[in-house]
Formats: sequence, C-alpha cells, structure tokens
Amino acid sequence: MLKSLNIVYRLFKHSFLLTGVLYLMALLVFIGVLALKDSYKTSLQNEFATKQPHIKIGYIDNNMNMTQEQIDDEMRSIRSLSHNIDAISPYVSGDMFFDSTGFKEGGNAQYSGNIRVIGMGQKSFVYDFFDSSFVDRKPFEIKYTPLEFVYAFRTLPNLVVFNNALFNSYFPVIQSAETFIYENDTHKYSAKLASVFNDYDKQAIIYTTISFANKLLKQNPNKIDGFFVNSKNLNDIDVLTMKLKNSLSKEKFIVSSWLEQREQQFMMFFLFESLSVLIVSVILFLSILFILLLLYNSIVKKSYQLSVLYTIGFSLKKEIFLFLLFVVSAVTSIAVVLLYSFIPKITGDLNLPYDINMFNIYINYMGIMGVLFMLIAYILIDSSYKMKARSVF
Amino acid sequence: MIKANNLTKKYKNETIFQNLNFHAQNGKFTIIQGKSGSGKTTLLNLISTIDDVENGGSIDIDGTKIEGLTEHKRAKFRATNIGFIFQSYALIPEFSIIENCTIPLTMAGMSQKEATKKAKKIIKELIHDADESFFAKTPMQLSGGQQQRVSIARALIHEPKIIIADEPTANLDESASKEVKLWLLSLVREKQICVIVVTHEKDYLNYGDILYEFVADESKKAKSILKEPVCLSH
Repeated sequence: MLKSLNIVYRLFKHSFLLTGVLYLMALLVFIGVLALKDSYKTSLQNEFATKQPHIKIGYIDNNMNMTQEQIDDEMRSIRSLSHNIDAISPYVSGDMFFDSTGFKEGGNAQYSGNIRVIGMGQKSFVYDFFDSSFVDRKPFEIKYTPLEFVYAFRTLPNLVVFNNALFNSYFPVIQSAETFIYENDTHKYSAKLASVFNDYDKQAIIYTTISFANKLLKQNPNKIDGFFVNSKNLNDIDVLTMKLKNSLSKEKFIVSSWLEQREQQFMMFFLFESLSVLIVSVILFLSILFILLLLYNSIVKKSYQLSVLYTIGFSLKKEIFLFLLFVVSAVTSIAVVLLYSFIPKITGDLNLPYDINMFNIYINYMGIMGVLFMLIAYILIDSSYKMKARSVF
Repeated sequence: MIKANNLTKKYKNETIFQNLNFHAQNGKFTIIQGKSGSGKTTLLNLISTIDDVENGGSIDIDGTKIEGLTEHKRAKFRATNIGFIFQSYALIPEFSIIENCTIPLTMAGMSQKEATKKAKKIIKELIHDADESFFAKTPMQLSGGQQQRVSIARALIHEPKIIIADEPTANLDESASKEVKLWLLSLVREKQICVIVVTHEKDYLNYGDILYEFVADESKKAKSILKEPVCLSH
C-alpha cells in the first residue's frame, strides 16, 4: 500500500501541493478578516456594556471657573428643564502624563504614559487621595481610582458615574483587603488600596475629585468642563437629550448622549461587518473556484498516466483516497496549528479579544473545503482513469 | 489460455459484435486484424479485463472466469497475468525508465531494490548498451524504438502468461519493427507465452500462428463478425 501510495504521491505532488498552498492562503485571509470583525464587535460590545447610559452637557468655553454656588445654580437650572433628570454631576476632564510603579502579574511594573483624569466629586468629605502605586491585570489597560472617590461615590447616590465598572469591579476586590483604613466622622471603611484596576474599557483613567483633578491637570481649582446627567428612564434618554438640546443655549453648551455615540459606533461597525462579509464571501467563492479549477486541470493533465496505470493493473482507489486524505490532513493540521499559535497572540498583541466562536467557523470552513476538495478530486480521478483506460489501446 | 465464448458487446444502441468466439493458446502467436472501427480494440478491452463482460458471453483465462469479477479483482488479475504493449508506448513521463519498469513489480509487493535489479537486467537484454545514465532518463529523452523496448520490458518484467499488444510496431522504423516482432516470437517459442497482437501490418502474417479477422456482418445483426481462425503455416 505504501509503495502504491508513493506512486500516486509522485504523480500528483506538485499540483496537490499548490492546491494545498492556495487552500492555506485562503484560510489565512479568511481568519484575518473574521478575527478583525469579531474583535471589533467584542470591543464595542464591552465598551458599551460597561457604561451607564448618560448625557454629557459640555461648556463651549473651556475655561469655566465656577464657585460652588454657581455650580449649584447651574445644576438647579438644568434639573428644572425636565422631570426625567435623575442626577447631575459636574465634571472636569483632561489628559496628563502619568508615571507610576506598581504590580502586575509576574512582578513589579512601571507605567509611563498618558492617562485620562476625570474629576467629579465635590463634597468636602471626599478626601483627595493619590497614591502612585497600581495593580495592573492586563498590559496597557490601567485605571487609577482612589479609594476615597469610590467611598464618596457610595455615600453620594446622586453622583453620575458613567463607567459601570465602578459598580461591578472595584468593590469586591478592595473589600477583602486589610491594608488601608479610611475613617471620617460617620463612616469607617477598611480596605486594601488597590488603586488601579481594569475593566473592559481600554482607557487608562484616574477618577478623582474635581479639585484634585484640576491639581493634577495644573488648572484652576474651580474649573469645570460641564455636567453628566442621568435619566430616570433609560428608554427616554434620547427624548431627554433632545429636550436639553432644544432648551439649553447653543452658544454656551454642547449636548451629546451616550446613545448617539453608541449609534455612531455601531453604524460604523455595521458598515465594517458588511464589508468583511463581502470580502469573506468573495474569498470563499474565489478560493473554491481556483482550487476546483486547479484540481480539475491537474487531474485532466494526469488522466493519461492514470489510465495507463489502471490498464496495467493498478487499482488506484484506495491509494488516491489515502493520498487525498494525507494532503487534506496535512493542510488542515497546519491551519489548526497556525490558528492555535498565532490568533490568540495576534488578538492579544492588538489588545483584541479572542472569540472561541471564530474557531468553530474556521473548523467548519476547513471541514467543508476539505471534504469538497477530496470528493471532487476522487470523482474526477475515478471517472477519468476508467474512461481513459479504454482509449489507451 | 484465453477462451472467450458467445461474447456480445453493445455500445449505446449499436451492437459491435454478437456471440463472438475467440480462443488464444499459450505458446501461440495470435494475430487479430480488421478495419478501423471493426471491434478489434473492443475485443482487446474485454479479453484484457479492462471492460466488464456486461452484454453476454464468458471469458475464461487459464481457468479463471472473468465475468462477475469486481473491478479491483480484475485489476489485480491484469497486474499478475497480463503484459501490455501499446502503439504509443504508454510510459509515464514523470517517472524514470527504471521507475516505469518497476511499477508492475512494486504493485505486486516486491521491494524497490529487488525490482530495480530485475528491471535493469531485463532492460539490458533489450537494450544492450543501457547504463546507469540511461536508467535515470525519462521517456521523453528516448527515441521511439528505445521507448518501445522499455515498454516491452515493462510488459515482461512480472513474467505474465499473456502479452497483449496493440499495433506495437506502428511507430517504429523497419529494422526496429523487425526486432520487436522477433522478440515477440521468441517469447512465444521459448517461454510458451500467449501473445495476442492487434495489427494492420501484413508482415505479421510471417510471424503469427493464428489469424483472426473482423469483417462486416452482412446479416446486419451486428457491426462486425469475427471470422473463423486461420492457422498460418510458415
């Protein structure tokens, strides 16, 4: 059997290896496009899944220095515009260069880079605490949140925090620790200072009070950029946005909603997804067409040799089947190895999530292509050598 | 010995021949002649087991009934018992001379080393000046006469009981043609092989023992009939 297989291999090695290479190339492009699409989608979903729907009212003048009284007046006037407003918080935000030592999996680490500073709390008991140590769970994903801010947030139910990770991720981590105790007149809070944590957002963010944010950003301590607004009913957030847009002075404020951002992002994703589906369909169609043409050509070219072998008594069925199985298995295993070795790495390097569902798609693709490849080749070879054998004489 | 009795072959709606009888004995040089399209190749396909006996009749080769054998078994039977010589030589261009000749032996399970040794010996008997560089050549690097000799070597290498040749000398010059005919004759006389040759050449009548001839069927029941065999006396 092996000797016979060797004869079939020598007869077909060039054409079938070329087919295999084409098959592999098509697979790699297919994987690449789907990986990008899936990563983009997952990234978007995670980004919006962790955010609370909110409305941002930003001052057009980026140098608004306001006293506490002025801020309170502005909030009252905004609140009076609609009964659907649940909470309003002033905010200030900006970017700074952040240099910190800390810990991440595997040992000590250094973080140096731009970081987003968001200041929201105002109350006097919110203690401006800033420790430059951090705990980092994933490379390039850092979020710095002073414990006091979280504590203040717990004590201020009206504070609008647009990142849901504060609710879900932070407290379970710090409550189990013992190395930090925070106390004021009415509350005692004991926790570990894990001041950096990760959520699904890809931005490095420090949440702190407005005054401390301004200090970090080297701005006037009274500067604010605008207000975050929460709606009582999340389904009415677009109605509330329209109401605020129409009511507030267009010369003074820019109103935008989380919903609008989401719609824009998902519209872009829809376009990207449509394009990638089109690309993948074209790749599939062309690769199947090319592979079948190549197979057909190579078998037609070898039909004389096949018929000679058949005439002199070579029953090729088993050998051809085994050979095809060998080619398909070889190509498929290379593809699987590539898939396992590189895709998680690529998606990791690009900070993209690896979706296990993609693997099923690749396996199906390889399975369908492999079976099709074998079936067509087998039928072509089988009928070819039988028909031609009669004409060898 | 081949005994084909009452063979009928139809192609689509046309009957090529009907109730045909053909016998070929070991140690005899049998010649089949006839016009183009008369059914010579169809008969060869049947008695060489390439085609299945599906329209009636029986074929017995050295006690083995061919009709009813599966395709795989027929192929195995051919590989063991029949050697083929073709007008177009039918060598595989991708393989070297030696590889072409060893195919029947490797199919039979012989090791490549032994098969190569045997192939070299038989090629040297047919082409006296063949050396290692000749063995490594591919068929396209040989002349027509050399290719036909290699083809004969391939047909003989597994020591078949039957040689079936289709116009084996049609593409050869006179001297090479004569050499091949003498070779075939020596196989019949010395090794008692059953040699069947389909040919248009009249010269074969000087070498053959039995002549079968296809002629048009005047009764119109079939396209051709095979005339009663004629013993050729030399």
